[in-house]
Amino acid sequence: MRPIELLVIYLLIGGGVTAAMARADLPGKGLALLLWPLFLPTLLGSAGPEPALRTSDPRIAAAARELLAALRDGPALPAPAPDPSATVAGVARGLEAIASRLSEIDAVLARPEHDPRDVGGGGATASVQAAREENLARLRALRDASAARLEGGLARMEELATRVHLARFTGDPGDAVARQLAQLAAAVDCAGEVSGLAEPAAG
Amino acid sequence: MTAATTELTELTNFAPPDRPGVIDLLLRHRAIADDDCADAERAARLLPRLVLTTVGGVGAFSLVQGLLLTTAAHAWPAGLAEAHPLLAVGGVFAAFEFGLMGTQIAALPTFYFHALLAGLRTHAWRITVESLRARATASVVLLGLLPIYLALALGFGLLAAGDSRWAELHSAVVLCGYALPLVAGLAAPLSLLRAFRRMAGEREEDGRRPMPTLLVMAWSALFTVMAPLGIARMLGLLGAL
Repeated sequence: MRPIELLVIYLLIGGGVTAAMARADLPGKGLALLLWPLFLPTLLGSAGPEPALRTSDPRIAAAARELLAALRDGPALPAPAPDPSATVAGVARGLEAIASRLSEIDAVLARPEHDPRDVGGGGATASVQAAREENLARLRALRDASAARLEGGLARMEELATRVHLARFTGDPGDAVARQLAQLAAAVDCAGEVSGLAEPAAG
Repeated sequence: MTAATTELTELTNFAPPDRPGVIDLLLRHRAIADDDCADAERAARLLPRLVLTTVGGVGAFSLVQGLLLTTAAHAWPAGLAEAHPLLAVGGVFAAFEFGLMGTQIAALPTFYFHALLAGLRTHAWRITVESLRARATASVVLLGLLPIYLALALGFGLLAAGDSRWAELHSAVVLCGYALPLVAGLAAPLSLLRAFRRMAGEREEDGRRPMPTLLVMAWSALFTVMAPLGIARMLGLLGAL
């Protein structure tokens, strides 16, 4: 085989990888034509099945699995909507980040020196004791806020799953589902934090 | 909303600061880069930035080396040194990209299977991203070394212009410049070793002791042999054109 034929085959494969990357909406399509061996593993890796289920928290995994199953059987989402699996995966990761933060705060609060009954000990002055109590109270408030956000996020996922089922049987178009899914995804930032999920659902 | 509630809201908002640039990720925010490399989707988004950093570093080196080639009295390859400066720059760029990226691509499957043999049960994409991250780190180090090399070579060039006895030394410095990306490349095994040690710590469930140091040594040996050969062969070919 001549080098030019090898080059043509190489570029043809590069074209295929570039097209697959465009389909998966992955960045670096221009580079992939020439350097496709570097991009192929990530392309295959990012196309793994049910990424939402890679969470270690069983409650989040169950909610994500339920929502994914509902979306799979539910009405078709409008064309520009993002990939539902990836969106649910992002939401699950966000909730897992909150759960992880929650357990970290719980671990801090569970230390013996943070026991509310022992806060007054150690011969500290009144102002130091007051500041310490205030810090612990804020830490507990922070823990409660994170727990509320986690529960709110899980409830929103479960509510969305039932809405998808409802849309499936009433024959509603997928626009409202896509909008609600996008709202849920927008509430999760890139670090996995959920904002505004603790507020009661409108209506 | 009271001040205390506002403060609480700010505290509970764990949103990270703006995403750092790729050079910051490689040098300063390595923990964020570690997380990015461990997640398939984030790794897929990081990969093009790593490739561009690698290509950018080699591109900057090629610009300097290609232009310096045309100033040396006895440069190798002579064909490139006597060509138009743009052709010399392009030739050096093509040779180094071919040598370094070609080695990277050709060694990936071997590297993946060596990783499995060394006890690191991981994905091919993770190996790809970590090895490219190592190369990108080496490229940033190359960018840091480049001004020193440029100042040194230009200094000898000025001396050679005033006194022909310095011309040989100037040519030798420019010839040694070819080794600069390989010297900067010493940063890559360090980055890889750190990454593989971390990966080895992630999976210990099968009781098998991973050997990241052995893997990095094998990778370094492969790269040390293949990359200079590829670069030299390509420079020779381009110089003969």
